[in-house]
Amino acid sequence: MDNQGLSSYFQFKNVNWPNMWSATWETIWMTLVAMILVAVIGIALGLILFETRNKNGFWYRLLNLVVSVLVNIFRSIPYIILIVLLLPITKNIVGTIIGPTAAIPSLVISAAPFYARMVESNFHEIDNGVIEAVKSMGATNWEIIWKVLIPESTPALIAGATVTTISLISYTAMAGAIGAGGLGNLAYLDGFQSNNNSITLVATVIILIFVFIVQYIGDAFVKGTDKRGL
Amino acid sequence: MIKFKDVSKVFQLKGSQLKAVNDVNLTIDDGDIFGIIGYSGAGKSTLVRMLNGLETPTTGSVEVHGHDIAKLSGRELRDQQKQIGMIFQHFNLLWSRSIIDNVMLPLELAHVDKASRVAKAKKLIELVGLKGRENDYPSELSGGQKQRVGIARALANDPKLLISDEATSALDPQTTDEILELLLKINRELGITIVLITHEMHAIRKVAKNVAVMQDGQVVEQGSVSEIFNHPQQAITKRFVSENDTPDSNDTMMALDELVERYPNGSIIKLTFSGERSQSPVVSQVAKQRPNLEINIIEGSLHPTQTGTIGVLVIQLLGDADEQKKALQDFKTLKVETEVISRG
Ligand SMILES: Nc1ncnc2c1ncn2[C@@H]1O[C@H](COP(=O)(O)OP(=O)(O)OP(=O)(O)O)[C@@H](O)[C@H]1O
Ligand SMILES: [Mg+2]
Repeated sequence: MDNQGLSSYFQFKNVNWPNMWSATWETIWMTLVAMILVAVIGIALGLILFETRNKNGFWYRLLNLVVSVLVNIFRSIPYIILIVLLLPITKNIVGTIIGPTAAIPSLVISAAPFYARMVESNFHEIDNGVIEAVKSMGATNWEIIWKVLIPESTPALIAGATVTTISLISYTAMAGAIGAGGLGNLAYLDGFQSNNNSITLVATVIILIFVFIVQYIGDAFVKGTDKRGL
Repeated sequence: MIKFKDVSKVFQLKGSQLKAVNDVNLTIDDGDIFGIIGYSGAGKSTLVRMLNGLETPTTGSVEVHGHDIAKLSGRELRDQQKQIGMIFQHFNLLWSRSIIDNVMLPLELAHVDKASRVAKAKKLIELVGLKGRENDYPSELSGGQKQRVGIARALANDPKLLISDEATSALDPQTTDEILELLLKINRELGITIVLITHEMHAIRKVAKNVAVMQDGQVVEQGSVSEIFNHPQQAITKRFVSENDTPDSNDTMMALDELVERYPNGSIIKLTFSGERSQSPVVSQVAKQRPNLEINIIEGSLHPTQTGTIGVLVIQLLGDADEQKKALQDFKTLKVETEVISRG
C-alpha cells in the first residue's frame, strides 16, 4: 500500500502539477482580492470607530454603537460557520456559491472587522499632542486624517495588514474545503478524500511559502516606512 | 493686541466641576514677550489654548487681533489659527515627515504652492540654525534641535502671535538658553508677539517684558518683569522670585547654616536691587551709618532682564539686634528690597 505510512507523503508522481498550480493561483487571487477589500473597509470602519469614540452628540454615539456591535459580532463568528451562514447572500451577490469568487464576501466580512479594530487601536497610539498641534494650525478633520492619522500609523497599519493577510490565507483554505477552490480545496478533495498524502503535503508546503513571502514583504514595508528609530 | 475679558473655564468632570481658569483679565500688546508663570495645574495651558481655539471659554471673551475667537465659525477659526503659531513641551513633530516636510505642513494646510513652500521652509530652517538637516527625520535630532524645527514650523505662515507652552521644559539649561535666545531674536527681527508659558522664573527673566503670575486659575499678579522681580506682592510670586536667585544650591545652604551656627547673633539678609540702584554704593552707605554693625558679604549676582538689570546680594549682619533692625530700615529707605533668610 503506498497510501499509508511515512513514504505515502513522497509519491510525487501522484501529484497533478497543473491542478496544483491553478489551485495555487486561486488561493493567491482569493487572498489578494479579499485583502484589498479588507484594507479599504477595515481602515474606513477603524476611522469611524476612532472618530466617534468619546464624542458627544446623538449621531456620533449611534454610529459608534452600530459599527462596534457589527464589528464585534462578525469578529466573533467562527469563519467556517460564517461561510455557511452567508451562503444565500453570497449566491445573491456573486451568483454562485462555488469557486474562488464565492469565497470573497465571507472572507471580507470576517476579516474586515478584525482589521478595523487593529486600525482603531493604531490611531489611538498616535500622540494626541501631535494631532492637536496640527489642529492648531487650522487643519480640517479630513486633513488630520490624511496628513496625520494615516501617515503616522502607516507602519502599524501595514503590520496589521500582514497579520490579517496571513489569517486570510488560512481562511481561504477553510473556504476551499467547502467548495471555494484553491489549495485548501485541493488538499481536501484530492489529498484527504482520495487518500493522496503527497498532494496534501505539497499544498501545505506551497501555503507555507506563501505565508513566509507575505510576512517578508510586510516586514520590509514596515521597516521602510518606520522613521521613528533611525 | 490680545484681550482676555472676564475669562473663566469650567471642566465638567464625573460628578464634579473644575474651574481651571477663574475670571482672568489680561491685555497683551503687539510685539510684547508676555510671560505666564505658575505651578503645575494653575491653568496656564488652558488659558493660552483659548487663544488659538483649542479650548473655548465657559464665560468671558478672548480677543485676538480684533477677533472674538469663540465666536468664529469653523472656517473663520481655521483661518485665524493659521495666523497663530504654537510650540510645545514635547515638540509634537510628525515623525513620519522629514524636517522640511514638517515645516511645510502649515503651508500645505494654507494651500501654498509647492515651490513657495520649499523656498519658505528652507529659509525658516536656516533661520533656526538647522541648515543642511532638511531631509533628516525628527528621530535623528536632539531635543533642542527638535524644538528648533517646532519653531520653524510655527513660523511658517508668518504668524502675528507665537504661543510657547513650556517649550523649554524638556530641555537642559544650556539648550533652554539657546532656545530662549532664538525666541528673543524672532521677537526682535520679525516683531512677532510671543506668549510664553513656563514654570521657570529664569525663562521669564531672560526674555519676557511683562509677566502674569497664575495660581489656582487666577492671575494673582501682573506687571513688567522688573516690577514683579523687585516688588513681588503675592506669596507665590515671592517664591518664584526667590527660587530664581536665592542661593539655593545645597553647598551654599550648608555654608549659610554654618555661618548661622557660628554667629548666633547675626542674621542673613537678601537684598534685591533694581535699575540704577544696582549700581549705587548702597551697602557702604549703610555701613557708614551703622558703624557698630559688621556687614559680611556672602554672595552676589547680577541678572540682566529685558526691562533692566536686577542685582541680588546676600549679606550677614552682625551686631546688636536693634542696630540690625535699623539697618534693615535703612535699606528699605534706600529702595532696596530686603528679605531675611535666617536669623541667628
Ligand atoms: N480637558 C480637560 N478636562 C478636564 N480637566 C482639565 C482638562 N484640561 C485641563 N484640566 C484641568 O485644569 C487644570 C489646569 O490645567 P492646565 O493644563 O491649564 O495647567 P497648567 O498650568 O498648564 O499646568 P502644567 O504646568 O502642568 O502644564 C488642571 O487641574 C487640569 O487637570
Ligand atoms: Mg500646561
